[in-house]
Amino acid sequence: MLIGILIVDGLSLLIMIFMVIATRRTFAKRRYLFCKLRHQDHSPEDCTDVPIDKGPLKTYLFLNLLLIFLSFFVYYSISI
Amino acid sequence: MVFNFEKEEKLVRIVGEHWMKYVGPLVITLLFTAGSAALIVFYYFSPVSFPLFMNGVYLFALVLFFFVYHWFFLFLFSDANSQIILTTRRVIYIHHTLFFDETMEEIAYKEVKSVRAETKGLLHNVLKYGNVIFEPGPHIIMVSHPNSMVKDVEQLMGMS
Repeated sequence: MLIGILIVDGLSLLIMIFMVIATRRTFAKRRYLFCKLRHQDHSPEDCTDVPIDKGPLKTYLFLNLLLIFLSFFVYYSISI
Repeated sequence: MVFNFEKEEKLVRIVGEHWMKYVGPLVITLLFTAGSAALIVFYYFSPVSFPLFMNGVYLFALVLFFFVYHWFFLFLFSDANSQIILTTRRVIYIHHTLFFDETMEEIAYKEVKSVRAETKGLLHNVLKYGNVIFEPGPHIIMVSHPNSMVKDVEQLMGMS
């Protein structure tokens, strides 16, 4: 049972890591696009004025870690 | 995806998609989350008479819960990156699904014959969203305030 929970939680962590990397890359691409559109006469690398909302990403990370902790907590509270 | 901008092309406006696009996935997520939570409560409070079965129930509930959780956020992050961009030369519609799909449709104003907004039904009219249809070109759904977008496009096309 514990191995099953470890596998499920491990997979969840792995998915989370891939998702965060992919989302950050996409955010960076969008930032580059808008920067290029707004400041054609400047180098896009210099642009830091394009806001990116990282709130949902942080919520996703926090909730996932909390759920992983809870999955172990429920299992151990039953076992003991 | 490569973006090539013409000289003097400027960003005019980024048109948002309507929040209604989140309602369907949110309802599905809540239903499945409630289902898996019910299974976990069942596992927690039931007498330990069939440990193997009960462990199976708990594992199934966990798998269901994490699957729905990741699916919902995949949808959320994908749609947050989907954009409708109006520039001085063209409309760029970027539709993104993380890991699976990234498409960019664009149409120059000089190629557009007509553009129209379509709001059908009570929900579309009450919540002010609808479809924007370019002829020829993309058919963009769930646009927030489609008439306003059409007006802007027509101005940029020099039609009005």
